[in-house]
Amino acid sequence: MQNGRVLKIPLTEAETFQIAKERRNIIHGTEEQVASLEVRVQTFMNSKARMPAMINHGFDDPQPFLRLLGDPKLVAVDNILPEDTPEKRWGAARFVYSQEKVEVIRGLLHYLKDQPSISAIERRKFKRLVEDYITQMYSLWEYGYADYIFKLGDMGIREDGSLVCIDLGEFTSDRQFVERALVEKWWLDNVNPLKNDFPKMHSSLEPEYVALLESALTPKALNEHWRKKHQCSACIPEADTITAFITTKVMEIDYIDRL
Amino acid sequence: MASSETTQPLIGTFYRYHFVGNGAQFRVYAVHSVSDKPTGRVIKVPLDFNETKYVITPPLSRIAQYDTAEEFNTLADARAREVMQFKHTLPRLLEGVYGRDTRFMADLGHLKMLQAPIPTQAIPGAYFLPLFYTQDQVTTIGGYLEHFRFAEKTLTNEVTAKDIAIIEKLIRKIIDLHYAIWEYGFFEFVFKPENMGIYQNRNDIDIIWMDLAEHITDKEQAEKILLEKRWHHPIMPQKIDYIYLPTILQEHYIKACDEAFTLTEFRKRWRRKCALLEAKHRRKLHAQALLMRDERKIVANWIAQQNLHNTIYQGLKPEQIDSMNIPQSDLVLLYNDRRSILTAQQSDILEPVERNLAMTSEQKVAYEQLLFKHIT
Repeated sequence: MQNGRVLKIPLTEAETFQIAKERRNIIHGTEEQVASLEVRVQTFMNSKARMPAMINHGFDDPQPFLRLLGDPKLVAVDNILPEDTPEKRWGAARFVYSQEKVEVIRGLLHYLKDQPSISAIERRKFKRLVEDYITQMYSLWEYGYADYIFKLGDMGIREDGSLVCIDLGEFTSDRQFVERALVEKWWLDNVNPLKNDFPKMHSSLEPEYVALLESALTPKALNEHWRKKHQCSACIPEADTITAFITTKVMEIDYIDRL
Repeated sequence: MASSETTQPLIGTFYRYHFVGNGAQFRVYAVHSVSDKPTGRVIKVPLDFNETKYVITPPLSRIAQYDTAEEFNTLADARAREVMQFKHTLPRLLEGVYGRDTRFMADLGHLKMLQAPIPTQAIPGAYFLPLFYTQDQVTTIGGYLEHFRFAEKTLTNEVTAKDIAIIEKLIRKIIDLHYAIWEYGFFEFVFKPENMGIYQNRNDIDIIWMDLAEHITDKEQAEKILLEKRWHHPIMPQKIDYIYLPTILQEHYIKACDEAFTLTEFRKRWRRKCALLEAKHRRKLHAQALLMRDERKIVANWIAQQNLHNTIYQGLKPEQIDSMNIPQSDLVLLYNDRRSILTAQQSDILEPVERNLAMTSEQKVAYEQLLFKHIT
């Protein structure tokens, strides 16, 4: 948009279906397909449906958290999305939001991938980028949220060098689940050639990326950072009980992307 | 493009809209003030699927091979969808550095876009979100060339030296316009003279790229098309989807185009302006990086440099959005106007006559054989 922001309009169920068809949904570290297309589409739609609750979470001071997400703002959908019809259905993922317009890291990865070799200067800059990425993950954990897909290409960067998580449909507040993602090292998808929806880096950069994340994204680090800055009036003990109940139910229903 | 002068204008809130004509993509209306003075702009209203199919059916029925009406209907549906898809490429002509380039915007007749939800009749609460465009009002090539129909070189009172000079200039300008858009990485792949429009200022003329939907950006595909010499189509009377050039201009037009539209000329110009713009922006980012001390900013600058080949072509500025304040109710009125296209008439009456005269029976047979060979 002309105001330095982008408007994000969710895909309909039919559009999501098209995208899901092109992607491989496999058990980490194997080639085994884990779910039918229909179930995966529903999972995508559910992931999107969780976003408004995250954006509107009642932090005492939400701004530092929202800044990590590119300052998303929900937009009234009445004038943007028509009513659901059999052909165009948004269902629970029926919302629109705007976000800061930033440079996307995907372009850098494509560029690096195409280079015959990587210079020492570029290697140093890339290392700095990965270190900042780790800091960004820690910052999110401190607010009780985590990106469980770890798609490096889906990060954005502001002119001042601060990172932004631009894909908000890949977050969870379920600590147990994040821990599992860390133990199983789902961040390796960035270097897994079978995961064709993850933009890849130059092969010579992979060992450094793996080494940095191996030592940083651990259950121990999660424990040190998890919810350290989570100060809000929304998460009262009763709410925690209800949240835990809902989380359990959601996990039962919405498990496919988590495999 | 067909046109009609008989249709009554649509009376909008602040403007009156006079139907000028239509192609397979848009209905075009001249925008007049409430007091019926031309504003110098036209509004292009996208054709819906049924209209598109209606427009493409007659020419398709003459060239398509089919056995049953059902087969033809399937062909027409597919062709209509294909034609409609071209429209989706138009906004990229206005994005990023293109929209900020004064010369390019002038070549496009200062094209601007506008959008409004149009409620559908069929599904309550649902609406279309079509893209309308406004553009400078120009004379169509068809109308302009009418003066040269059936003209003979020997009859000097019909075509004067001044006319010849203007025509030479017109052909040169058409070629230069193709060259200019090549420099920006666009390739008008049909070489239809009628896709260009003419500004007339006393003794001078200038042209714009009026119908912009038929373009591609793929270099390899463009080179293949170039070898087909599609600019010969306007002198083939059988090519009914092209305007038929007045006989007197044909030799000169073809000679000039054959000399101009070569692979060498194309490769010399293709994306030249884009390369310059990218280099300019890259230099700027590079210079900024030299002054940076903050490592994080350096990384951000580095990423911006790698994304540059995409990012400079993205984003619409307010200047690309139409500022005539055409109310949404007027856009609904225009979108739902179905009178014009059904009553449209040819403005250049002599064109079909000259074409038919040129199409001898032998040529018709030869063309059909060629077509058959091409299809099989």
